[in-house]
Amino acid sequence: MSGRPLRVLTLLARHGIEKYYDAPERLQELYARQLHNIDHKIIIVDNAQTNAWSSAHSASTTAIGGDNSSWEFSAWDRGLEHLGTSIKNWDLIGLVTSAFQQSHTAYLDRLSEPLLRQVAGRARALGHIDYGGAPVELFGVRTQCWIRSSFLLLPPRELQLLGRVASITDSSAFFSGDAREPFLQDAPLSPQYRQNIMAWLCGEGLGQGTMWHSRFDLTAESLAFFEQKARAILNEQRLSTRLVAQGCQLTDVTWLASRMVAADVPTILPSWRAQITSRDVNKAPGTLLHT
Amino acid sequence: MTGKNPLHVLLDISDASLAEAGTLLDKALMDGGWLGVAARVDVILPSGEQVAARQGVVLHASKLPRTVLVHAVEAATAARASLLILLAAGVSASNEIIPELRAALDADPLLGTAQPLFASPMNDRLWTPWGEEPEATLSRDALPELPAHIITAECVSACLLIRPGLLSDLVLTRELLLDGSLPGALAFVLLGARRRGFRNVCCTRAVVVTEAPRERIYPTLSGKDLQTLCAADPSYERIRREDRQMPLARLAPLLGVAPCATWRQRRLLLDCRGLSPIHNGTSRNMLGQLEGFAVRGGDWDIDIVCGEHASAFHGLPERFPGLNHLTALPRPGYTAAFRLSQPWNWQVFSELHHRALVLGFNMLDTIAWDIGYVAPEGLGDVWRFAARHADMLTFISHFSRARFYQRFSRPAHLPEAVVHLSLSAAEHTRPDWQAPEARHHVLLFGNSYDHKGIGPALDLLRRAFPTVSIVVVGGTSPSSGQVRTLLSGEVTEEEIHGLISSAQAILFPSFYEGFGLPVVEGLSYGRPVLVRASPLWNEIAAHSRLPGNLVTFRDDSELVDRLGRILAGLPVPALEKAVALDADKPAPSWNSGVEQTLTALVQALDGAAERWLDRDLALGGRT
Repeated sequence: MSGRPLRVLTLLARHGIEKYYDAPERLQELYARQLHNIDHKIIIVDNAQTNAWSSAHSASTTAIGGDNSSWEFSAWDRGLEHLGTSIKNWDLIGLVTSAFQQSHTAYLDRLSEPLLRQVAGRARALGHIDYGGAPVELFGVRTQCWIRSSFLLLPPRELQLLGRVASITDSSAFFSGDAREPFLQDAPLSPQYRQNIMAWLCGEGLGQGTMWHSRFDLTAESLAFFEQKARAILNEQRLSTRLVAQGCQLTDVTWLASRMVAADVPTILPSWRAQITSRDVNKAPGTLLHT
Repeated sequence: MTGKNPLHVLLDISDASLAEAGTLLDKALMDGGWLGVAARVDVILPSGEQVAARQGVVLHASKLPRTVLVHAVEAATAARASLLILLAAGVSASNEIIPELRAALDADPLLGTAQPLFASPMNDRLWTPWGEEPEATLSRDALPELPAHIITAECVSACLLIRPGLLSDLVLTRELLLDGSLPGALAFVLLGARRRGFRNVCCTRAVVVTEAPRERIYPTLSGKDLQTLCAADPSYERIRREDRQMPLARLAPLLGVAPCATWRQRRLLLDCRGLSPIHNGTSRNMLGQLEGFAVRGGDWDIDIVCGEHASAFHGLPERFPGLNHLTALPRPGYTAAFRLSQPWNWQVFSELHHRALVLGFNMLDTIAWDIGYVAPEGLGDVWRFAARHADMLTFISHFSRARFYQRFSRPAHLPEAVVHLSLSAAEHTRPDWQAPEARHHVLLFGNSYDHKGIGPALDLLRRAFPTVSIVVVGGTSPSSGQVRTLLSGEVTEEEIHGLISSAQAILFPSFYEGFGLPVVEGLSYGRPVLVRASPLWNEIAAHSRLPGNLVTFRDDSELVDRLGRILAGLPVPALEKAVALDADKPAPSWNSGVEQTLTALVQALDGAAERWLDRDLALGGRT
């Protein structure tokens, strides 16, 4: 790795500025505070604008419009389309949402330039690995973890391999249109996964002491929002499983930071279970290694 | 759709040690996520090993692996299930790859088996099913450039998904299966599938990360197995050999060094084999370009290949210590190869094509093909091929570019640039020769080729100016009292500078040039230079601010008139300078030229893989 600064481009997905209006500034502050040697630029993809819209905010921040068809996932796709082949000019691409500082964000404090250098050029995606209490299935893939999509970093090559970030763009295979039983019986997701989604969006969370910041009651009125939010969750899950499928290893920020503190970063990444059960803080229970 | 069929998994850990079998099984099932996803999991344990039963898992402890294979195939056939075979204990494939493998089979009903690629966790490099290297060598950077699905010959690997029903009516000749190893038996199954038209597909978007060595990922078949397979199908070896020789197998290593990855330098091979161990215009041109590459090539890792004699003669390693110097062609693995002069034969094309993804040539001129008698046989076809199949071309003048495209077609896609040689006086002059005390001769430049026009010009000068001292660089007639003749290529650089800077006037009577470096050198010393009228000279004057005057003549009488006026100190009409330059824009330099070249090479990276394959096909067996 050369001594030149890393080049990181963040695609910051947002929907207008009613909520998290200062997300770009917060993100810049994070970089200025912890990643100041990094050449960092932001492209805001605003889903409240039209595709044709663009605006130059500052020397390091520009904004373009997104179509909001798959929330942040289609926004990132719009950003990637905007970048075209120039994506190769960056060491890392950040996929970030304007809500990146909501719900358990201590892991963001562990970001550092040496940490990012562990990922640049490698088949790794860096972020916060979340997990469920039991495996779930989606499209016939069984999985129990996902990398949080409000803030992750990947080498551009991994995004090129991925193709589109939004992989579930059509709700018709999943939802019934009935708030009492919102999922189709033959939807390609397991009962456990249905329960998890319901519990996270409308219930008491996944039993890990964390609850979503915007829980709501599922009614006929909120059904459309439920379906969109559920589809975002499914896209988030699919993003992780597709990355794993292409050989891109999920890398937990807190675990990697703790290994770096201990000056003991293994050459070969352990499994996601081994990573999150050996964090120095916010450690997942050891039983995860045997479930 | 294979996705609607159930999945069966056959996991072979029979080669694990007895002590680790249980742990390995649990790890494979948990990390792989196979339980729940697969309707049935058959596990082949080491012989004699007993492990506790697992729900949903059929354990086989004392059967021959190939026997279990037969059972697994029969069970999958009965259930109309896809059968995933995981061969090796140390290869921990996880179930996330299944949608990719299934999608590959869904893409074509005649694809019978699908397999992922395998990558080393140490460096992310990949093993290739068509290769035989002992290490994983394919750069992951190549993956986005490769097709998502590559059809290959049947290939037994540690992870293989078999289409539902593929084996339903396949005659599983038990005698053959039971006579060989498990990989051998699998190879036989795949061979049977292929002979019916069902191919194997390698999914480049499904990658299993594993520490396992090649022999575990792609098991080597025993001699006995190969004998059986070749007996069943005499074309077996030929088809596998053709696979190893497929263009993609040669392209893939080049793709790995091609992308504009900022974390790693691009590799550039500069082909300077056209450099001769003499001082002439071509040498000065190439040395000038190398100066530019030495200064401006910082984003590239540059290797120069040059003949040993020429490299030593020009002292290349000493002049350009920042570049890597080679005297023989290196192994493949360059982002780009750029030849500082034209290709003269197919061999050059082939050599560079197989070493680099992007191929560029600096077309100096088309003189050799036009005058014919110095051109190697087939040169026209080589340049026609260059016009059609090079990734980028540079031309040393608009004049040369126009001649080239007039003679050879111009594909619309071709990135190209006119890269003038240096027109900066500072780069063509030496301070110690700037102001010689005496100006006492007319300098005549050329060589023995007819288009240089030197013989008739010399005769004319002798007749018209019998008292003027004449020095001929590149002359053929012996020296006489009035004329001093120096053979081209046998004059040192110092002598050239001395002769130019001390000339009263310089005559360059050539009919046809690509650039005319001696003209620029003469102008750089402020000397008046007479040239035969040509659009080239208007171009040179328009792109330069050189101190000397460029004076054209149309015929002998005009030459005599204008040279006479110069020798008498009288004014002569000169071509207008710098009309093509913005006021604040410097004239072209070696550095700016190299920047243009590198920019064109980077542009040529887009779509280069597809063009490489086209070129490979077009080159065929040409060498």
